[in-house]
Amino acid sequence: MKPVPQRSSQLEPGREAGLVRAAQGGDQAAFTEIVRHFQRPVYRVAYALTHNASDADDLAQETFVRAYQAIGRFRAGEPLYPWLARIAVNLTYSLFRRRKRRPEISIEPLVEAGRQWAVDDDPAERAAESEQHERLAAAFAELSHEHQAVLTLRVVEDLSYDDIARTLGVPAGTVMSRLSRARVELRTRLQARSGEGP
Amino acid sequence: MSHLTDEQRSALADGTLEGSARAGAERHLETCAECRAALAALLAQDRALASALERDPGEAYFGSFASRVGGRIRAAGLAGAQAREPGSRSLADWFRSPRKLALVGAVATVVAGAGIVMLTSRELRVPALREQEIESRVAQEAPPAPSPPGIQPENQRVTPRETRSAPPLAVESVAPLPAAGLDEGTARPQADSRAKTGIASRVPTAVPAREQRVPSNRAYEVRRNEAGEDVPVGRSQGFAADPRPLAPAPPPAAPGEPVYVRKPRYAEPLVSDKRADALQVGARPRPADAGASAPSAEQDAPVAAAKAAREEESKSVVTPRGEQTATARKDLAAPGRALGLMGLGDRTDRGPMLQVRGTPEAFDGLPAQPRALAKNAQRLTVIAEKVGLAPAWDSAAAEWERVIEGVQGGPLESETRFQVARARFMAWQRAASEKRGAQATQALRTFLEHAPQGAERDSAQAWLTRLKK
Repeated sequence: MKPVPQRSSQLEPGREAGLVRAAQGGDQAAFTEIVRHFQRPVYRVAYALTHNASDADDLAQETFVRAYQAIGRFRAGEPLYPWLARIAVNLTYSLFRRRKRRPEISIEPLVEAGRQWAVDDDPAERAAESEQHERLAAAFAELSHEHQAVLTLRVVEDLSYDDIARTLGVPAGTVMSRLSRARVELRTRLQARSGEGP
Repeated sequence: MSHLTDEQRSALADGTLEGSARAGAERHLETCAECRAALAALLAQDRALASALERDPGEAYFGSFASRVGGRIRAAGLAGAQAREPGSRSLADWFRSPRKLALVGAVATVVAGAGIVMLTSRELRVPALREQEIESRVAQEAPPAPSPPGIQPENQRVTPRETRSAPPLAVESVAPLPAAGLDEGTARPQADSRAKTGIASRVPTAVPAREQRVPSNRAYEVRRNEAGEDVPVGRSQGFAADPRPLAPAPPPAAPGEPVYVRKPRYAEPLVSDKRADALQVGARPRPADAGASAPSAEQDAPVAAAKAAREEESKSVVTPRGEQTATARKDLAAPGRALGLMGLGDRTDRGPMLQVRGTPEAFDGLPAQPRALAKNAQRLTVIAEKVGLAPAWDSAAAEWERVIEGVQGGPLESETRFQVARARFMAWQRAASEKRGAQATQALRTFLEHAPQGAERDSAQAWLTRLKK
């Protein structure tokens, strides 16, 4: 299995605060650097929640537009990424509410993975892994939005409980219990899909 | 052995357990293969999930991402971020927060609810215009007259509180009258004046109703019922003094004995919608009587007085006080006419007011065949009275005509012919036609040839006059 790459969403504290102050002062270049630094994690969050490349692209761009609008109210010195992730999560929830439906399971990961399978590794192993990803993505899509968000921020983005709490606007204790319930729920749904029973 | 909980395993996988909790969990894992397997499965699930949810669109995508964001910002025409520094926040910015908006909404809801409760939980002052209207109506009903002794002038004013609750009600002023000096002679004229509308008099006085209304110390609310009567709303309101004659004083008690005073009760109006041929007041009901009686538990007790009014002809009879039985038949017997019945008086005992329908028992002495015919004719008459249709009256008249053969030359011939004439007239009245008019005229003339003096003859003559018109 391909190892999960180490997430590095944080700039150096002094560097990040300087960029924020510069952006608040109207420095377009500073804001562009913020975008370039956080575009990947923001996109990951958007994609993990929507499982749709087009939606993720639109949500990621909109996240930075909203950040540009509101960065004057951001307190320099606070970690910037939880704030950006919060914007992305809220925009995703808004998208779900507008569509009145749960996000659809996209075949894009499979297509993307298919391109990679063509160049390396055993096709049989890749097929088994793809099947597992498909089951996982389907089970994940069945979770509540809250559970999807907390799992995304922890498992995909590797955020700490405190940063997840800032992002979701809940206490750290709630993050711990919510994560535990989300994992149990995901395991139950996976077992149901595998025919193992809950 | 108690295993690690899901929350402990989750926190252990995230590395957030610290101190003794972490040490205890690790010690448990060393000895518990099941928890080790569960934790391993959890970590594997996390890794698989991260891999499943990840998608890398490539460097080309991210290479142009910032420029696309910049283009969207420019397209939206957004102002620079520096325009919204913390020091330059406006009131509109404050309202942009959903949480603050929710707070403002909750406060506004509470304030509005409190306002509504305050408005609905207290009475509002009646507008001045309303008071003027009420006063003008009172003045119209009660022309200026000298106030009776003992009434304070300021009390003559109709207060808004007494008339506010029922806008369409009339306001009637009743003067307190002295109890002494009221007798049947004074009660009769007013009873006559109200007999036309069936309104029972509550002020038995010789003064005409319009003239005896003088400003009183209180106004009371009345409600007009279906019969057009103004009935006071609640007995406790209205009279400054009891306008009716008082009951005879009880015998003086011996020294030391308690004195029991019977509280006067108002006589209930009793208006019967049934048609009657005769009226008896104060008589014990007989089995043959087919009528309505007043709601009284004491069937034998007499009433102080009673008034029976025939509404259509403004005719009324007031029985004298103290009579055990007063028969109003000779004055009011008018078959087919409604009688208004009302007991007058202030005595607590009220007797039954019976409405005797016709004289059905009179036919009991006939032979079997004419008796059966008479009973059937009476039954058809009752049905005709109920349905009120001309064909029903035609049938009743035809049946009464069959009865004539059995009573011809006897004492019941006149009564039977009256029933025939009445049924024919009623049929013509319900649905006038040339044939019915001729039949009614013939029947009435036949009856009048030998009819004795009395109410029935008067009625027949009146009907004949109407037929001729």
